[in-house]
Amino acid sequence: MKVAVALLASFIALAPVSTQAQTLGRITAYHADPLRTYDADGGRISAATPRSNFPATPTPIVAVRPGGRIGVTDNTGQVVFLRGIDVDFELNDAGRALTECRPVGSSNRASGAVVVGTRAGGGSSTDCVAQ
Amino acid sequence: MTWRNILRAGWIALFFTLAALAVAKLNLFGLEAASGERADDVAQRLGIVGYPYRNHDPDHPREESRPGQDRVRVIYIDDPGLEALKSDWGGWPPGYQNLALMIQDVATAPGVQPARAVFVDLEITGENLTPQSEGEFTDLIDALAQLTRAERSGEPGWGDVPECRHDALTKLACMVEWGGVPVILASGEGYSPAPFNPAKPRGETPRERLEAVALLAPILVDVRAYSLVSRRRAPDPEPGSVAAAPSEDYDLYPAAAMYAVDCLVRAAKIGRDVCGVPAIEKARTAALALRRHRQPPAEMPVWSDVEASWKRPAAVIWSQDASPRQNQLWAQTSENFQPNCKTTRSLSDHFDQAFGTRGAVAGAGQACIYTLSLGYDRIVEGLGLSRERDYPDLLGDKLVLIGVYFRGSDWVPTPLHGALPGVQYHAMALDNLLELGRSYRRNEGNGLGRGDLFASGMTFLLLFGVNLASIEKRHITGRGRRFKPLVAAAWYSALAVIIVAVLAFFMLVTGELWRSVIVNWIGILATAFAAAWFTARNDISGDLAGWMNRSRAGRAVVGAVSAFDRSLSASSEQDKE
Repeated sequence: MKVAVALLASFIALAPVSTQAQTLGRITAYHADPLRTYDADGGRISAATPRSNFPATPTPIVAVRPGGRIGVTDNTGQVVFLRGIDVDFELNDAGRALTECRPVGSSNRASGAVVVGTRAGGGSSTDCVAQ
Repeated sequence: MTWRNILRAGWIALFFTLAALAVAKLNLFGLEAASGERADDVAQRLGIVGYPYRNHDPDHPREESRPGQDRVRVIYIDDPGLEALKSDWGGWPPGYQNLALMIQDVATAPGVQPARAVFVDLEITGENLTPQSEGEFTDLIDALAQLTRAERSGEPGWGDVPECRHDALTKLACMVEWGGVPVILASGEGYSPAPFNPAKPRGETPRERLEAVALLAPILVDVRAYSLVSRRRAPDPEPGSVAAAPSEDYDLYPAAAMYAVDCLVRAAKIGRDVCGVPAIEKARTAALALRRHRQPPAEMPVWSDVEASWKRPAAVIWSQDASPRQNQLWAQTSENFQPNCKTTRSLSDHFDQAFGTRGAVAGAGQACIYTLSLGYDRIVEGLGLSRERDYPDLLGDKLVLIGVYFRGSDWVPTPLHGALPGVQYHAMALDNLLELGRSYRRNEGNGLGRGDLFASGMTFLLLFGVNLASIEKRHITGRGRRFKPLVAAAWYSALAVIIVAVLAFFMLVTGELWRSVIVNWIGILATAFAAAWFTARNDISGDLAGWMNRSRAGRAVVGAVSAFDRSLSASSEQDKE
């Protein structure tokens, strides 16, 4: 009975990760070594995590933060977030859906963004709110 | 028309031209400066100063035929971008470690060719260092030393060669020669380092430590006159001693420093000077000697060398011809992006500009920015950017300027774009140097320059025409030709067409001059109209008719018009009968 409960618990714990790993996308190349890693809230975990701490490519992407960083499971089993500039990655439809957002009205933008949006163009990767 | 009258008109025109020039140079009530600025703004809006000029080369793709737009990039931090980085940075200012990371990201992005040079338009003072921030500041210094190769693991860096710190150009040349990415930092106001002394160890103040690994450049520039170099003031003399001689040391402003790096890198690739600026070549020779022979050369760049090429500040020319990649790049990295500026050069654009709808509040009427730009947060996140195309296009071997787009901080007025962030001003000045080289458009200030000669020439010609017409008016009025309204309308329309054609021909011939100097055409026209107001008491068109009567062809034209006029008069009388 205990074995069955443990198996069930581990299945429940691992299922979302494996499901997400199949649905959000993959990292196809690491360009930086060491890598900078962040937690789910964007706080820095490490400024120099060796490339060898991560699985070989293609590495499944298990999480995506709106507007940016991509989460992978490192070799210790911890989900950490990486910067896009350090890796090449591909998002599938589910992954892209997490990055989609609707534009913030100019009146709701931060002050500088209004000016940038109207005169210099653009805005920012967070110039939107998640759908 | 007699030679006497021609001479008389010439003397009067010369007198008033010189008087106008003197009044202009006195700049009474600031009228000359204000009208000159306005005239230049309108000329740029109308496309008379159609920048850039080398965009019609059919043998080269657009990027290759525009060295500035091809190589200059702006990476900015705006409010939403800062929001995106907030969890990492914690807000503004970013802190020395984050600053170091940002410079590293831009200078040596993973998997991309290093940038050609990086300018950071953020003042780093290093003031109020705490024990904790001291460690972070040291990290920044170390990162900069690695980037610029002031220090190298296993072999000496240029920082170990005191003569590399002799002057700004030599320092940049050493960075290039040692294989580093030159980093130029904003020095801020009031910083005046001690003159170079090879025996003196490197300083220990934060700015001296920064200067030991990067180039510090002054960033305060006039919105109408972008300084390229400035002479460093001599150190204060010791009490009781004789005042020191003027310093031979100098500072390079960001655009000049980045341009110098571009020249140095290109010269290093092909082994010879490419820009024709002797001071840069002298610095390159010096760095080569220092690297290969560890011996300082006989001559190193000094103030008089840079003064010869760059003493006059640049009167920056703006362009409405935005980078073709800009909107595409923004669309790739932003959801639902709608450009809110004009990117095409249609007739309606010129119409908008001609009637001044491109002001500071014209919104979508503004021309899109010229230099390819993207937010730093988007470069870091990488969404929508490809390693093969976008990162190299943004950073690889580029002259990258990093700046902020925060409201109320460092914005400059422009003729085509309303207000733009200051970093865009540095970028456009650099673009001008890359496009025009030593022929960059100069702001002559109060001195006499080519612009004054050109303007005086135009004023003289206009006044001469007005005076001659006035003096010779008796010849025309004596012939007393009166046209019927219909004929008069045709006659004056033809004259208007002729005048416009002559003006167009004049613009074509003098186009290069309009681009190379600021022409206060408002002042010139005001002077000419004032002269005409006081001197002309009859129709100038009558003068022209009289002048045409002097030649056979002219007489034929006038005769035909007169015959037509007579026939109309005759038919009119018949109708009355």
